[in-house]
Amino acid sequence: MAALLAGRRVEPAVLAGVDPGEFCRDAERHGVLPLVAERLAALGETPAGLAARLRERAQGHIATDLAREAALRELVGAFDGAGLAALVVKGAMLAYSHYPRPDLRPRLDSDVLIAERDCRAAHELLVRLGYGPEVQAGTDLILYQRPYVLRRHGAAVHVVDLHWRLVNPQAFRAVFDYDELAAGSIGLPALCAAARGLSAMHALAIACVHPVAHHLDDERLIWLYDIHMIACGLRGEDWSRFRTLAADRRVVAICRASLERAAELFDTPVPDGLWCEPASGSPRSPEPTGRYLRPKRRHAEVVLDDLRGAAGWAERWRMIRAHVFPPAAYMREVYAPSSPRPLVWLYLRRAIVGASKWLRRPS
Amino acid sequence: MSLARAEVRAVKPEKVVLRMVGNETVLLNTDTGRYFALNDVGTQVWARLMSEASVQAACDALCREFDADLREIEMDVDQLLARLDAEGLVEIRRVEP
Repeated sequence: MAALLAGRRVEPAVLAGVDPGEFCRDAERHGVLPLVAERLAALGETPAGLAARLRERAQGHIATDLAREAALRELVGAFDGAGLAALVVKGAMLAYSHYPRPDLRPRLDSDVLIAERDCRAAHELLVRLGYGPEVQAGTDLILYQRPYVLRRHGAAVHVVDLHWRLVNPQAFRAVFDYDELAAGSIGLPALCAAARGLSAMHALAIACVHPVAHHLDDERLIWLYDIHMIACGLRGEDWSRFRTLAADRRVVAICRASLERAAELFDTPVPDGLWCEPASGSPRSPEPTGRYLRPKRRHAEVVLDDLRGAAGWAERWRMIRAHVFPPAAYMREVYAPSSPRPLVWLYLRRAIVGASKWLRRPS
Repeated sequence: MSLARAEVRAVKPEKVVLRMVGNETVLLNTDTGRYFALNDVGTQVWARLMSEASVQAACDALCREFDADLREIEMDVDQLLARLDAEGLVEIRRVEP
């Protein structure tokens, strides 16, 4: 699949040997089915069964995207009308800024970034538009985002992930600030006149950081292809500025690893010697964010990192409390939606089950 | 069709959104979430239906375009309109005098 996306030749014999169902499942898991379908349709050498299955699934993606696009346009217009400066970010932004068509960039939700000071107003607006907030664990010290779902006839039409900080782990707390991202934002006319997204440089930094910070060992082709697409649009001076940004925010190791992986898979054009340029200022200690590159970390290590990154013991205590005692509504919904069991029992069960998960290394 | 083709025209309802991809078109009813994919011929038929003043005018134009039998074209267009209508993807309106 990576070879297809990179535009390399794939022998028809290879395609003849694949199981269409399995191939489509893998393509969906990696978020690249519409792109792969498009590439294979252009090649015209795809076995009929596989081509038909891909075409049907790709049409489904178009329909899903049409529904999502209508809802997202309405949402962006409403934010704009209410004077809330929201930024469309991550996959939802790239779909309109870097992909030929938005349905070629599948996504489960639309990520929207707002200033923390606008959280309440944004919540009220979303509820007025018919979006329901999802119950979730943790507080603002663990999660800086909240999903909202718009349903019609019981089915989810649009999921909005409302962020007031783009990367949750504390090691990244100073990496991307809303005001800075908003100041450098660009219009997204392909979505609608009021829509704004991130500058290519910020988008690339986030595309590199987000999968590492939030998804640890899970490598999905679409995240790496995002990096490839953004990188393809950067020119000489942009790269130097990107290098400076990464050094300044202490995410050089992550950005470098992500770009190298994209280049390995898609021949992403990264300038030679980009990372050899001297970073501004004097030599510094190792980047705390670099720890996120270690493979197969236990969840407990991630939480410990988070505790290390907290600003003082008061914050640490709040974080521990948030991990151990999530809101009662969350406990009921997740652990016993229709059971009268007392909350104490549910917290105890979570602690026992959770402890083994936290200490287990990902397989 | 209960009314003569010359007396009606096909209109895309507001709740319907569409996207053309290559020669194909995907139509979505945003109220029901139901969608319908038109192949290249279906896309040409849709384009004619949307641009001509009546269903009959669309059939006549398609007849010239495809150099095909008008009766066959009319039957195919009726069939397509019936399917789209059943999914709420098109509205059949009386032509304004």
